[in-house]
Parts: sequence; structure tokens; C-alpha cells
Amino acid sequence: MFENVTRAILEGDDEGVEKLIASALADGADPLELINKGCLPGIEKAGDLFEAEEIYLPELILAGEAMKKAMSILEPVLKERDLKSEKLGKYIIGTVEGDMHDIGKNIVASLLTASGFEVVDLGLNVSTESFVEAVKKESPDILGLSALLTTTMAKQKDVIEVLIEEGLRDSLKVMVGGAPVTANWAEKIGADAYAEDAIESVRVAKSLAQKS
Amino acid sequence: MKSLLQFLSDSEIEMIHNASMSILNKTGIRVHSEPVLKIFAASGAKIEGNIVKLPPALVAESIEKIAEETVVLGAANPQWELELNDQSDRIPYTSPSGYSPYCFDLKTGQKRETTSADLVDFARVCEALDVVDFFWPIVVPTDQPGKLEELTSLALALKHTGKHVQCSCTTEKTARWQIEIAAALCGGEEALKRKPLFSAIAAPLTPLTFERGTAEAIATLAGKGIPVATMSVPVAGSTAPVTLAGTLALCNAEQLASLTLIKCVNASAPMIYAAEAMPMECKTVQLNYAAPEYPLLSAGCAQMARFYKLPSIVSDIPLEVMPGDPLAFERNVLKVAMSYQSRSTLAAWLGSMELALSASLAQLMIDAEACAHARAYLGRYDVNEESLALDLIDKAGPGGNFLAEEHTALHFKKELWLNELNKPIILEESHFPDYAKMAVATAESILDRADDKPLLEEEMVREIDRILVEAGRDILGC
Repeated sequence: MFENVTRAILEGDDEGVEKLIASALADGADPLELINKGCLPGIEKAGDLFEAEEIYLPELILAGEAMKKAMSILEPVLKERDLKSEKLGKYIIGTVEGDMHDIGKNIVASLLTASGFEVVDLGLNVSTESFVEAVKKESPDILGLSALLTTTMAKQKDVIEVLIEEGLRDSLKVMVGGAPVTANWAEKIGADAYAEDAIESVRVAKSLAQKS
Repeated sequence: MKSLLQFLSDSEIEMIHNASMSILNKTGIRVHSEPVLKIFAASGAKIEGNIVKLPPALVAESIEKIAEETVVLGAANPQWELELNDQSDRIPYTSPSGYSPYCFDLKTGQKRETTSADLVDFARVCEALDVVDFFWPIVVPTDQPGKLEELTSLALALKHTGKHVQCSCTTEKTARWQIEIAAALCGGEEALKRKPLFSAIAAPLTPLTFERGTAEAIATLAGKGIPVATMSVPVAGSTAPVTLAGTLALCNAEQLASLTLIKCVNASAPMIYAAEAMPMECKTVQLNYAAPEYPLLSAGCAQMARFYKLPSIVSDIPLEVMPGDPLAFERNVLKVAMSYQSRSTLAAWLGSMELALSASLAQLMIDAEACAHARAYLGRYDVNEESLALDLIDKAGPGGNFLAEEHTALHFKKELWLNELNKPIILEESHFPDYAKMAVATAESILDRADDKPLLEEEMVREIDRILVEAGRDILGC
């Protein structure tokens, strides 16, 4: 049973995942065991195959979507039973104000969820105030700010400045990313980390989560 | 006869056109601007919130309004005026790439943020290169306030090059002030409309989205008859279907939507069909400029543009690599030759690095050199009585030869490419075959020779600066 779930995740078969998990739960399977012995091995294997260049990013993303589907079924079951799956951390992500580009941010959000983060995706064109409100409400471990234009990059700096003003800066790590963003820029504006692409974002996020 | 890369059949072109019409009618576009939604509504489009669905009749009407007259891109130096007629007869007019916030310093090779001084240097170098037909302000003056970058780019470009300038425009205010500056140089808006000194790149956001600033910029520019190149950048597999036909259909839909907006505002406003279509890179999902599908998609877009009889800018060939030896350089040349065989009207790509996020004067020189060599593959050969040479063939007869014939002596310099394939045309030869050193030395030499003073009269420079100050107050609200 667990092997079938693992295979369905690895193959990005979210319909298959849905059926298998529903059937397993109906047969009395433990939801935590389904996650730990079925789902996690599938997404971890997908990650390993990607690192080994045996599968491509679109296939990894599909596996991530299948993992999201699995968790969307299993999380409510866990909650009902007063159980929790282990999360690497809570991650708020969004594209800054004035910027309507979100495909990179969406890929990062998907891969983070698949990697075990609880992700709160604020969407695109998110005002500085909305980011700060979300930090207050959600108390995340990491805040990820995406910008694709040189004219909107400055908003990443604004968000960090407001977090400092509100005394929130030390409560979380801030990551920045997006095509025109560089490590120099990240350092200049006081971000904790920068990632060049989606895969590096996940690596960096995991590293930040382990340190805090 | 001429080399022309076409890979869509007539029926496939029709299928893509019909697919685009269906996308616009059924899926629609999202428009984040109330004034532009009203423009569409008043023209008969169906509005559902901020989704605009364009009935085929409205789009067809817009296509009918495409003028038969040739679009002319004006230039301060009339020698560089460009007539955008049927490009199947000539190679694309070529420009540097853009619009990059970083550059690689010519002296140190280090990557840094770009400044107004960098833009002036690029303009000076491009002014001196015959291979450059028009000018994208390739680097962003990041030393300016963000909201003034596009306006400053146009102003600096117009000061330092006599060639047509094609700049980016992403807000209505920027559009108005860009028009004001250019009109001041031309002697008024009517003169500007007849021979626009600038045209604008205003890009929809693929898939099918028009941000507020872009939508309003397109409307403002069209209202004054300024040519707009509404550049879609569909990435097959991420922002467009992974199938090339699906990418073409989606891209074409965005172009038709842009055309409809332009023609709803001003029936006589010119439009340039604009696209940079490419596949995703499958390990990172980033843009894949090096993909073989890029020139294929360029050719498809060029065919669609010709189908509508629109001028196009669809064939950029960002090489983004300094060749290490003559063989590697020849690969660059062949890539340019292949892409240019799509016969896009315009192409903007010289000097691009790192997926156009960075720019480099050295790379610009290498790209210009590749462009000059690529002309070897892009000639036009007349088929007529003289060139068929039947009398001569009969005279030579079976087993004869043509070497000592007057016909050969008369025509060989025109028919054959005489440049040694790797011998530099533009670059200074002193460091051959070290292309990087040749490129740097040539760029430095051009900058040493080229005046860094504006090309315009002092009075005109003062007027541009006065307008910039006024614009700054308006745009920055101070």
C-alpha cells in the first residue's frame, strides 16, 4: 500500500494519489504512517532523481503537486485526530507590490510545500503592509519576497525596513529572489538569504529552517 | 532568390490564426485598467470583471485597419530612417538588446549596476557601428529614480544617437512625457506622428494579461500615432503550452489583442508585431535563449506577422557567449544566419548577457561581428537572363569551364562572399584569434574616438532637460 502511494507521488499522479489515500484511510490506515512511509519517500525520491539529473523540473513539480494533493486530504484527518505532521517550518511567500509576475514564486511555493514547509502564499502585487500584517498574524519562520522588475525590487527593501520599524525583524528570516535580484542586492537591503532559482530556494529555505 | 525560413504551411497559419481568435473570444484577456476596459467595452468587447472577451468580428475589423502604407521609423539623422516594408526581401534591422540593470565593465570585466554614463557609452558605440540600424537603450540608468528610468533612457538615447530609438514604456505618464520630449525634437506632435523618432516596447504579461501601466501606455502611445511593439515573451512549458503550436497560438492571441486595443484607440496607429518566444530550460524552468526551438518559434512568429501584413520584431538571437576560437565564432554566425532567415523586420539582441539581465560592450562587439559575417548567408540572388547565363553555358559546353569568362569577372564580386570566413570585419585584428581581447580593444577604440558630447544643439539639450525636470515633478509627485 505504502509503495503504491510512493509510486503515485513520484509519477505525479494526483488522481491516483487521491484514490489510493481514500482507499487506505477507508481500510483503517494510519494517516501519519501514510505520510511518513508512503508520501515522504515518494517526494524525497523525486528530489534525489532531480539532483541526479534523471528527471527534469516539470516532473519534480508534478510530484510536488501530487504531494500537495495527498497532504490536502491527510492534514484534515490528522487535525481531527489531534495529530500533527512534522513541518520544516512556516513560510510566507508573495510577489511584491506593483509586480504581477508569479510563475517563479508559484514554483517555489509548490516545491516548498512538497519539501515539508507549511506555505502561506499571499499571491502577487502584495503591498508592504499586507506582508507585515501576514507576518504578525502567521508568525512565520521565513518570509520570501519575489520581484521580477528592477522597478519593483525596491519593495523588498521597503518590507524589510517596515519589519525593523515594527520590531518584527528578528522574529524571522527573510529571503529574496527574482530575475534582477542578486546576492549583492540581498546583502545591501539586509535580507538573510538570496536564491537564484526555485531549487536553490528550497535548499536555502531548508538551511535557514535548520539554523533557527 | 533569397533564404527564407518558413516552417508553417498556409493551412497551419490559418489554424493558428483561428486558434488565436478562439482564445480571445472564449478565454479572453485580463486587463488591469479601468480606462482600458472602458475602451474595449465601447468597441463591443464582452467584459466580465476584468476579463475582456474579444468577438472575432471586432478582431477582424482591427486587422482590416492595418494600413497598407509602409510604417516609417524616423531618426534624428535621416540617413537612419527605416521603412518597415516586406522584410522577406532584406535582413532584419538590428539593434542592441535591453533593458538590463547590470553590465560587465569594459575595463575590469566585473559585473555591476548600470548608470546613465553606461547608457551614453553604449549609445556612442552603437552610433559608430553601421551594423546597428536602430537603438534600444540597452542598459537601465539605475542611478535615476526607478519611475524615471524609462524616460531618462529615451532622453539620453536621443541626445547621443542619431538613430531611431525604441525604448520601453510601462506607464501612461511615461508615455506622455516620452511623447513630449520626442515632439520637442521634431517640431511638434504632427511631425512626430509622420516620422516618429521613437517607438515603444510595451509588453503584455504572458499569458493573456495586460498590467495597468502597460495597457494605459499602449493606449496613450497609440492615441498619438507612436508605433508600439507589444512584445509578448511566451515561454513554452511555463507561461505558454509546451507545444510550439500552442505557444504560437497564445502569442498570436496576445498580439491580436494588442492590435485590437491600438486600433480601438486610433484606427491609423501603427503596430509592430513583437515577440520573444522560446522554450523553458527544463532543469530550472528559466528562459532558454540557447534552445534550438527559439529560431523555429521566431520563424513562426514572423510568418504570422507577414500573414497580417504587420512589421515585426520577433527574431532576437541572444548569443550571450564570447567565442573562444574561430570555430566557436562560426557557430555564432550560423545561429544568427538561421535566425535572420525568418526575415523579421527588426531584431534587438546585440550585447545581451545572462538572459538579457546584463549587458556588455565586449559582447556587443562580438555580436555585431557575427551579424556582419552572417550576411554571407543572407544575400539575395537575382534570377534573370543575365544570371541564368544560358549563352555562356552553351558556349562552355560539356567539359568546359567559366574561369576566364568576362561574365565571371563581371559578377564574382557581387555573387560571392569574398571575406575570409574568420577574418574580422568590424573588430580590430590586432589580437586575432582572441575574440574577447579584439572585442574590448575595438570598443575602447570607438569610445576614444567618439565624442561624448550630445549630438544635439545645446538649445535642444536644454529643452530636453527642462522637460525632464517637469516630468520628474509630475511622475515623482514632488
